[in-house]
Amino acid sequence: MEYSPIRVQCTTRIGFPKKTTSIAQVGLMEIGNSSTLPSGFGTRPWLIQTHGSRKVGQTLVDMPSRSLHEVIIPELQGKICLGSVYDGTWLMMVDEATNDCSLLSVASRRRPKIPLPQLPPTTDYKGATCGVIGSPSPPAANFTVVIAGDGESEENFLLCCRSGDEEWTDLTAGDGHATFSGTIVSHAGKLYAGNLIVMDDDAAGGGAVRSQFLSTVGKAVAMNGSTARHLLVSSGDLFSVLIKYQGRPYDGSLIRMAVRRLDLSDLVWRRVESIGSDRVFLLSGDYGFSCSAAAAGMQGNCVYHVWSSCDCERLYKFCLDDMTKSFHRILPKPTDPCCRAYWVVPDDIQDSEFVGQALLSAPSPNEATSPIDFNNHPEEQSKDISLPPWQDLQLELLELVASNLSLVDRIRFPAVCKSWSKISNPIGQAKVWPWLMHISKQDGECKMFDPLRGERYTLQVKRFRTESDPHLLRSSKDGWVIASAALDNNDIFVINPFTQDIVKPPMFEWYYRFHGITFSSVPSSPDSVIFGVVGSLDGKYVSVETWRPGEDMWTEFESEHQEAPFHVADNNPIYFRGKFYCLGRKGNLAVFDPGDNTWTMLDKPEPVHAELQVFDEDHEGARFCYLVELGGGLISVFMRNADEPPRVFKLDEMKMAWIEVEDIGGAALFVDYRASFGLVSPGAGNGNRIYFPSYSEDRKHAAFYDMETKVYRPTFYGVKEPLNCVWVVPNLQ
Amino acid sequence: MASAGSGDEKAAAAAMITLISSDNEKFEVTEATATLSQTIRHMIEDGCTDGGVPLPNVTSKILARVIEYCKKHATAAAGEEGSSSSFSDAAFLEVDRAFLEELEEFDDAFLEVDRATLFDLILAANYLDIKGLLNLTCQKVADSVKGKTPEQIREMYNIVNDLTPEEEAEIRRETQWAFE
Repeated sequence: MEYSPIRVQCTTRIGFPKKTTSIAQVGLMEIGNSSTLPSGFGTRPWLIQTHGSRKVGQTLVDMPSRSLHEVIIPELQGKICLGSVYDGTWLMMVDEATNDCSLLSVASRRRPKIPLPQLPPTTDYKGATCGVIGSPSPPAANFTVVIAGDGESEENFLLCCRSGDEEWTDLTAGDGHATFSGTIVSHAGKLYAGNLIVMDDDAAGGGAVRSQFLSTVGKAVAMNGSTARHLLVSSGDLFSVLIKYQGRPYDGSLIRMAVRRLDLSDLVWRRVESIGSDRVFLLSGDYGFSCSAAAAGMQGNCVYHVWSSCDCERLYKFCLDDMTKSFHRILPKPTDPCCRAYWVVPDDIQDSEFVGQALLSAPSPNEATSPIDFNNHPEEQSKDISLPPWQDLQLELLELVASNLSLVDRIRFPAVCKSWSKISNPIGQAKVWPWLMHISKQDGECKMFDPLRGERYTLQVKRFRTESDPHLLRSSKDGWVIASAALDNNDIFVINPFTQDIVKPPMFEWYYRFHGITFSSVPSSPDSVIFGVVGSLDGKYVSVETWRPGEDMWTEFESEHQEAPFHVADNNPIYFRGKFYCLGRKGNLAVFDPGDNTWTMLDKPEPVHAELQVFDEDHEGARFCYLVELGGGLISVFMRNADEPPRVFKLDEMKMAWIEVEDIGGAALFVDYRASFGLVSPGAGNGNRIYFPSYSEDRKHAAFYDMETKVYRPTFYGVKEPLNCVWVVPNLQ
Repeated sequence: MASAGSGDEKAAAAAMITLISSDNEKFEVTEATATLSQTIRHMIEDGCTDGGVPLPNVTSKILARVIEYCKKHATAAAGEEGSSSSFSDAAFLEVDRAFLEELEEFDDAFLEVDRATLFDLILAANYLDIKGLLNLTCQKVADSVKGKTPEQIREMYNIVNDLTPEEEAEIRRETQWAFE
């Protein structure tokens, strides 16, 4: 065991909304023991981010306040972390220069360190994963460490070492070895990895390390496309967490999450709705583990994941209670994928007497704003003394009143009394605006959130009842929602959740793969065309699929853009003047004409971000863009982060150019990658706002950007977004 | 009158009309104010306003409020017309906006009345055929039921539920979600 001093440099807190945080130099202090680390370190989970090419300093991130503390911990200098093992209490650290490696329990009071043999110098250990079985605790430390290379790289390796060994053993040398990749977890004396390999160290039987494939049943990977998968162990069970991201592999938007539990008795992966109200899953990089929520001071039944975004490093929180996601900024700059912050947990956390104050993730004070009642109702007037006979108001006057009602009020109006029930105003003429529809369970419950009023409604939609994962909402238009089955990803249907009318296009040959999908007119009409578009990452290939009622399969049209790539963005195309308009990631347009089935990339308007390197490494390309129809024109919205306001452009159809606007004439935009809408008259007080598919923690206030005051309300960070949602304009016709 | 030129308009604006409420109170108003009511406009056109216009359905309390509304809106209309010839386009737009804002403020304040008055204003606006006032007051009722359940609306407007349970169930049948 070795002990080293820690130098605490200074303490800072992430500023808001400034991107660059200056670190006050408090002066270096030589400190001889860990009791002078930031208070709270060693009592609950913290994140450690090493920085700089030499990894000299570290930033400690406290939970739940997310305050930052700059320190220098010598044992971590110049080292990369291959994994956080034993539920985060030990780190596997490798020196980048010397390949020295060791196990380190950095959050424990005495910071024990177990040196391991030097790793062979022939390979790069960045991106490698590790697993440990046995016990590292002195005095009777008896364990086996396995380090695995990225299974897809050519330089694959699988190294093993037992406590006391002088050197690493290469397990790939023998025959019949299994390929380990991804997270490695330790469960009941065995290591599990990938999908799914088990390995045990048969010390009694001659010291052979054995591995075998397990054929598991049940779709562990229920998502096509870009998915990150973590294995972890919680309460004696093996879990798999799948997180789907959109766009870019390291800083794309995280859009879906599912948890599965492996039943070891029959090797079946089963979907779980809860990981326990007292459990949190902490994920970062290639590993994850479970921790007591109370001891961690974090919200239970949630999965926390460290992930980069275009502007900063974020901590995502997936809440299984209501299937929402939210994120906070934890570090002012995004990191490289192999250098994500690692969780450290004190080894006595389960026994600690941590008092759970401020347990739930309250927003940090510097970005909290007092909730504002956006639908401020004037004081109710005192009861009238004389009582006019309102029920006797002439029918035509009642109808005049009813003509001013919005949908829900119009539906309720006739239920007041007999004379009021006689109104003939069609419900279809009531005022409507986009509601956020979301589905979190398989019971057919379909929730609607009215962003302008903060009200919620629940519809029972039979078609959404399922035995497996909830259906995925893909897009919407004219009150009809495009949904696909989550597991049988080739099954698609279009439904009006209010009338429950359904149109069922044929299955896909392969699976749902579109970046954007929409249709020309209500899908129940015979001349409707459903249009889906998908593009290759490099923008050189674009594929369009269409379906018209009566056709028994989708028709595919492929096109190439070798010279000038068109990067299909994750947003919904807009059917506009008889053609489908698609906004590219750079802000240019391409058009599909369903009349002659031609796909054309337009020379004009010129792209807003012509120079944007869509898949660069410095996170610049990670932008979001949306195409919206507003009042008979096209609008594009580009967003990046909390520090840069959304930029809004109007298409000038005379010049075919995007004209940036500061004001959208009192209209409101409702943006999301699945479907975006413009509303010319959103009513007093709601104008010049860009609504997002999310709401405040208390679920009462919609999240939006106010173009007049140039602020995000209630905040940019910390708002909850349902994982499976879509804007839909109610249509009861 | 409908085709009258601007000279006649001025003469008409100066002409006074007497309105007589149900409780026999007399109100002197300009013809421009009075003719916001289509009902009175037709009476003037028919030449039967000598000796005052009796309005047996409108009390003096309500008529006073109605006249207040008409005066404001008649002035606004005249102001708008006058402004068009004497300001540049930009200035005109500015004045136009100022007028609209002032009118909106007036309307908001005007509607700060109890529900009995609101009810009578609706009946008066309907009887006198004053479109702006009728829309304004009906909108006010629509706003007042915003987000309310039928139970809350009944309580607010002192309405007895005379629907049978079957009728009520039928009304809610396909849209039960909106009642929860």
